[in-house]
Amino acid sequence: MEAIRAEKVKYTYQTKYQKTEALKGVSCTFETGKMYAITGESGSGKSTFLSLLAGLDVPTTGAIFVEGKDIKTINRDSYRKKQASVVYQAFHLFPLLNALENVMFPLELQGISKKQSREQAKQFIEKVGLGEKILKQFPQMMSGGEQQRVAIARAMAAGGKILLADEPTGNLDSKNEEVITSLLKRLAHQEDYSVIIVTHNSKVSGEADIVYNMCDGELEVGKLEII
Amino acid sequence: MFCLDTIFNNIIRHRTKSIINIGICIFAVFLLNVYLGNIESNHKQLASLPEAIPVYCRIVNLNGSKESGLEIPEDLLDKLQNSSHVKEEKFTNTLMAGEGAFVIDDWEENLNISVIGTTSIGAISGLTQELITFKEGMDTDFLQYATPSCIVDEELMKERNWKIGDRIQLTLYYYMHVNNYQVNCRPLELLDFEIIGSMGNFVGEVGQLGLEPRIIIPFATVKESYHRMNIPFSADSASFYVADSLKLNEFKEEMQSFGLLNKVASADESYKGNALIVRDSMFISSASKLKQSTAILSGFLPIIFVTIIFVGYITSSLLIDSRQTEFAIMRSLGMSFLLCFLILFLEQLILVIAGELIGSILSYLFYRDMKVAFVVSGLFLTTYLLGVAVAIWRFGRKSVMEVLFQTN
Repeated sequence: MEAIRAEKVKYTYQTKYQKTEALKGVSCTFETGKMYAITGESGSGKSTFLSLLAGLDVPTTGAIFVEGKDIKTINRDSYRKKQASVVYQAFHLFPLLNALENVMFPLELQGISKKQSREQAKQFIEKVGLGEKILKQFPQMMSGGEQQRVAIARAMAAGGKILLADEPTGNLDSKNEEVITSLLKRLAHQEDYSVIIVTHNSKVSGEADIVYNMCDGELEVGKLEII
Repeated sequence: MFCLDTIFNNIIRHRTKSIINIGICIFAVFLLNVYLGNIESNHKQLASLPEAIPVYCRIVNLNGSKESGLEIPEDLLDKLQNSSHVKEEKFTNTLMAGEGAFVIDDWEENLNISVIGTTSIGAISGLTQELITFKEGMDTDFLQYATPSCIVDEELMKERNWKIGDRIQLTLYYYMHVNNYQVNCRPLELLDFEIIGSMGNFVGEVGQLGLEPRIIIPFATVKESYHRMNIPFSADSASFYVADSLKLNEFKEEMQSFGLLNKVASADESYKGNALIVRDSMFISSASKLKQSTAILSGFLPIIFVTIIFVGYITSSLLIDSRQTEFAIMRSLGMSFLLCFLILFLEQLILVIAGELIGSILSYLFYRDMKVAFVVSGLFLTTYLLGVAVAIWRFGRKSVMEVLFQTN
């Protein structure tokens, strides 16, 4: 089932002195229940494309459709709150909230009571394979792998089925890299998420169902590879 | 609820920043209070200066050698009494008197009582209210009206066997200047007076011949008597205070228009009361110092205001900048910019109000001036929140994507 679709998406950064075309007409479709990898060199436009998919910005031309609706026409705050979540290379947990509070945040933002949020957050933390003892720990006390798993739990708590990840294993050792990759894969295959990962890492892209290669702002159709 | 929870949790979680924020507010409000308090205090001191240092004026002759025994014309006295720049006028007119009726040829045996007509006992040097015993229900107010009443020296009352409440008959003689060095006594009128008080001994010197007055009567009574007898009336001394010393220049202009001159030490001797001494040096010196100090403080006020705006802006801007990532994460989790703005703004508002309250209370303990505290609080709150709003607006213009992907 189609989760999100990009059609001839172009994106231009405009500074005072110059224009840079980061995306030059990208078209592709992402379905639920699959894990996608977008690879490419630094500066090829991968992260820009991911942020457009997350609704953090809108295409200069072209369109991104979510459940058949143009992302430009929907409330993008609500879209990020309920449909799509982002996981970052730098984890981006709230440093002054403990693991449980971090996962509770999107739930409370949706208006769920504190008590219910706590219960649900615990379940999500359990789902990413973390135990009780992590609940009260603050990000600076956790390992990179633990932080990224809490970040994934927080993304899951938001409730959407689109999970966007920007270099999720970029700051992790190989053991944690494997754990996170298999966790994301499990979410796609067992929980019906559409997982879209931007990565340099061939091991991660190797685990993906579909790999897109971004080159100089374009998805190279010829190199579209199905594993 | 989530919004309030987040605000209070943020304040507690960022307690170091919150304390620094409150501290800066306390410091800024206290400093502003001290500054504006000083200006306000200078204004108050200036406003109360006329009361604290009244400007005394006295009519003298042109070379300033005579303060009494002068001839001060009635029209000048009237102008002074009607002037809004003059208050607490003290005029005197010195007479001689003899008890009962007698013919002019017998003046030598009878004319032996020095009498003074005055508007106030303050015009008689050495005499105070404590030295006067009044008949019940009477006081010095009688000097303001043309009443046939008098106060008599206790020794004279003993000599003449007079008592308070007695009525006495006095033949009044007035002084007339023959030339600059000679005065003559001329008959004025026979008048009845009631003794309404007695006065004890005092050391003073008043009058044409430097005699201590033994009977005091109202100035207006003397004036009326002159009018009845068709004799040109004049006072022999006049002093007063400037009503509003802050309008000293207007006062002086008016005195010039009345024909009063500045003292000229080299002028010839004269009995004409046509010069004015204004004892304003202390007032002018104090007022000038206060005005100078206020001008300096006020001159720096725009710089102080700009500094406060700058402090408010920089503080809030730095605090918000340091939390950009935190708010970018909130935005990426779907929090609207409006809610983000509200949380940040209310958070800063609570901190600044807390700081202002403490700062204002501290300032009030030192200065006891709520008006200044309110003005300062309002001013600081406005400038600080302006800084907050601009900082949030700047933050809002930044792309969430840029903030989050840059820190990757």
